[in-house]
Amino acid sequence: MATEIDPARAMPRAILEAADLRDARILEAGAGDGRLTLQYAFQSRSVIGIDTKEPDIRLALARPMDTSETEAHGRVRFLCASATALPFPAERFEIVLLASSL
Amino acid sequence: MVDALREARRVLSRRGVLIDLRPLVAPLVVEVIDGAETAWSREVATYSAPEDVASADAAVQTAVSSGWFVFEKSVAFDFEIVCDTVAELRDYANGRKLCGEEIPYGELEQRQAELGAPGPAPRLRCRRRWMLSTYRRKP
Repeated sequence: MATEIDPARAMPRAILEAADLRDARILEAGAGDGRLTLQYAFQSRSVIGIDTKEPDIRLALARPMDTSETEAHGRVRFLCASATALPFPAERFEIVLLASSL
Repeated sequence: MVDALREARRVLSRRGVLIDLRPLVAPLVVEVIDGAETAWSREVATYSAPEDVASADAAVQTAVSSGWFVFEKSVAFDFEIVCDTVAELRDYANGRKLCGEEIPYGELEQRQAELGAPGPAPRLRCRRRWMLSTYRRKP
């Protein structure tokens, strides 16, 4: 059996319980390879995942999905950017998630 | 860190929600598990550098005291990695800079072999405590 990361999905469950994601435009800073992003994005209107590590963003863009993540994928974009200089206009998101970004 | 919070406030809509998700300063727990049962367990040194956590806490405190955000709630949870072999755990730990040198790989391998004999080897689990906190943007 392969290595299982967060098999109980504790992290996406905590996010889904923390805020109302329905119709929300979400920015995730520290999205890494997008593993977490695709586990909650199905509930949202859209998610933009950013990370300063370009190799991680390339992994996120090429990430194979399991069936539960397919619905989420069309709502998600990944790009290389820094949380300290966000390339977005003011008041663009309803939720900002700092994933180990502080 | 304060710059990231300032930027988060800027791009958040009025009354938008900030979610701060990060590991706690708490021991990492490595275990040998047999089904749902924990057969052997050991706490190892804290993963997160305390000074990093203190800096992050201070930045959040600055953002709150500056009137950018209002604290709403926090919830703690365990983040788990489950694997079959010590080599897999070592690969994961090294890839994530999980202070691999602190994990007692030799002892884990020995316990796994002892507890599994003569049947199939039990699995290995690594648990870390995380905290999710939410803050509401002040208009």
